[in-house]
Amino acid sequence: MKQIYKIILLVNLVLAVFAVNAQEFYRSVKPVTTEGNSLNYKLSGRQYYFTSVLRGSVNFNDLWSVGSVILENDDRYDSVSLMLNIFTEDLIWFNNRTGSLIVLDKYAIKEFILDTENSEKMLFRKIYNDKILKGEHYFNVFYEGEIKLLGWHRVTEVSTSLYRDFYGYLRDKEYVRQVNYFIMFPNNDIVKINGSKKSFVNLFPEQKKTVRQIFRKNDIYLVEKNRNEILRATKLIESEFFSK
Amino acid sequence: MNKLDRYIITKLLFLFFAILAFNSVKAQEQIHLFPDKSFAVSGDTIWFQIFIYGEPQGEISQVIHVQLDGLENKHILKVSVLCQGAFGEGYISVPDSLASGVYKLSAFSLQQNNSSSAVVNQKFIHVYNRFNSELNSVQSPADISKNVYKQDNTIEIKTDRENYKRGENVQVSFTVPQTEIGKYKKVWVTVGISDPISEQYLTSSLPVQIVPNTESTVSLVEKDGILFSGHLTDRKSGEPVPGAIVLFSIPDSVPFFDYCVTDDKGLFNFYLRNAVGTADLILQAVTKNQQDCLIELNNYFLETKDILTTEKLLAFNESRFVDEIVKASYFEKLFTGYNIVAPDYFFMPRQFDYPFYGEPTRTFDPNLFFDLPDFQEISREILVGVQYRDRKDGITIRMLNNGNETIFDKEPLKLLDGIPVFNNEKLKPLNTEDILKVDVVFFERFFGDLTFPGVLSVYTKNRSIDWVDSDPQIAHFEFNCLQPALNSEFKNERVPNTHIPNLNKVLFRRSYDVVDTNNTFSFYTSDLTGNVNIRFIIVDENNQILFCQKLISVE
Repeated sequence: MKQIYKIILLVNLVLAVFAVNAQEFYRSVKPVTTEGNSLNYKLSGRQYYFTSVLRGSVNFNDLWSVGSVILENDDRYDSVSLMLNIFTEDLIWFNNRTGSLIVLDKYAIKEFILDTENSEKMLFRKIYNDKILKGEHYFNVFYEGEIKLLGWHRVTEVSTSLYRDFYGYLRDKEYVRQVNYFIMFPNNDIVKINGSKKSFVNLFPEQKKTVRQIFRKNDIYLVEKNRNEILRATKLIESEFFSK
Repeated sequence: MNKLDRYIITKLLFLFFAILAFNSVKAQEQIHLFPDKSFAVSGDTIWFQIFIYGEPQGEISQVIHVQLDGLENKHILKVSVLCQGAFGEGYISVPDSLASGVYKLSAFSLQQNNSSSAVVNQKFIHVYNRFNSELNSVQSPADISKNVYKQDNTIEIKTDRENYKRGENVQVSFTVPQTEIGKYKKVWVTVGISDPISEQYLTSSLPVQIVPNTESTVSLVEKDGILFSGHLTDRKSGEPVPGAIVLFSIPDSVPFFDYCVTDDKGLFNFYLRNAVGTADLILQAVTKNQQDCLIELNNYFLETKDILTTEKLLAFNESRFVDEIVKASYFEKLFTGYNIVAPDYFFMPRQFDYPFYGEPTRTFDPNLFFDLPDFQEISREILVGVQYRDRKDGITIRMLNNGNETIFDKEPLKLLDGIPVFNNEKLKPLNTEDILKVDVVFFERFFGDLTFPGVLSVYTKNRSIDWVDSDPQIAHFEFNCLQPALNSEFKNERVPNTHIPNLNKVLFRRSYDVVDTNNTFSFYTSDLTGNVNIRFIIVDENNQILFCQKLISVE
């Protein structure tokens, strides 16, 4: 009987040594398959951990969007499940082959496209700017011509009246979503516009009159600061001052 | 259906399939190769030009492989050249030990190598071994279905004289009629000593059917890199190992890393983008049951159907030419070397700012601390967040997980100069003198479908990969990637006040994208005597290859 215990102990020890040396670079519940083979540079990132109890959403899209990711080396991945956390500005990839939530490495991403619920394709591009928003940020490209109309989606924590969260704890903060608009000129200068008529007029201090004139002629008043109006205004500015 | 109807239908079907077959052949890429000489002495460098064309709407390969074979299809060497559009250039260093005889030069793309209907336009080169000047006969390709380039009669080549002395300047002018200007896509001019035995090979090629490569499973147009594939087998049984992870790394200051899961046949593929020179490929297999595996690279040479050969006896003047040229080369090698690129040259541009494991959470420089004798001490004193335990049952390493503020319960990915390490004993002897820096990542990292519970990347100062060759589980291959680009243009010059003989066999090389009505160039003759051929190879607007030439004599 004692000998059996010895054998069992020995087998356990051998298995333990194997377990130390054995290294599997995948989750044992979902072993890797040839499905993930690609000659492209692989999508890389780290585990996504963000959990939030505050009211509101931190995501640009709360449902997974099927989109595309284009890397800095122009390798492209299509039909990938993406979500954009605009509080931490992380692009999250749900790898359905491994069941992982991954924050994609920002340094490797050039741009990505999110297919929204109403079948609209939203293009986001990583742009570096050291004047207004320091560092690299994902900008939503609303219009791309000689000049570009960019949007920077943000979620911020703001104080609010007390409420109970999902777990019943009292909270006095909530997430509020906003979008800041920017115009990118052909020389890659970026100027923030708040969507008002004045902000467009101020883009051209020496031609304020002309800008006002073309806005008036085209019935652009920018009162409500809605995106369609801002888009129209941008296109008019482009055709007036930047068309070749 | 009467007999006539059946006859007509059969004929129509035949015509239909004939058109289909013709179109499939037509859709293939056509690659032409133009070496600068028809002969070489072992140790010489052969420069070549490449012209590729395919269907206008299709993608054409930009990486062309040029291979040197014996007539009996014995592979000697292969180089891969990155072309620009329809044209490219490169060079082949003829091995010093190559025996005298006729050799084949073939230019092909990966697409062609995988195609069953592709045809390669082979060129022939006479190689004379520099230690064997006595040659009485050579095995030559029989003169069958040879594709002789069409002679161009529009370019007129003129020289100031017909006969020159050694080391004399030759002025060449060539005129192109006004009506032909703009009709040439490319003109290559080469001037060199004429070999009476092999000269004909420069203005012709032999189309040969390719034996398709059945090992490759990937259909790819190589645009900026090289695809390499291999297979994984069980070392004992020789059976293919499917579903294993093959890790591929190239050690560097920012290491390259990739992986591939083997298919049912144990095959794996990797694509090396913009890699130039000779790479050290490090491959390791991760299998479910710690299987002892053998990693082998697939044959990357082109296989062609055999060609007919015939023995050719050399005439007296031909034997004398060989004798003189071999002696000249022998002296030339005494004064000059023949390696035009350092054999260990390798360059691969970084695609991203950080290595594949991302931005390190922390980077430690052990040199900022006092000397520590081994990695255990280093991890204990310097590597905050790295838990190194040396117990009886082996060494274990665990790392912090900043993601959920715990410690990973699995071994991290350990890298030594970018090469994954599975045996922690390899890290144990490293001391502060050996280590340049240590990168650590305290997050669960993902690379494609792989997951790493933290990353510990150690960079040594001398970056030696000798330890790799002593580990039977690691396969190390030296792999020729893209050839380093060098300018092929050359003009033989006279060096004043020197006693070193000028024994250049090629005296001038230049390519013209645009030619004018009147064009001139000059070069100096070398100390070799005999006929010198001024040869123009032209690619016209219809992708037709033309040639014209003029002989002068050096006495």
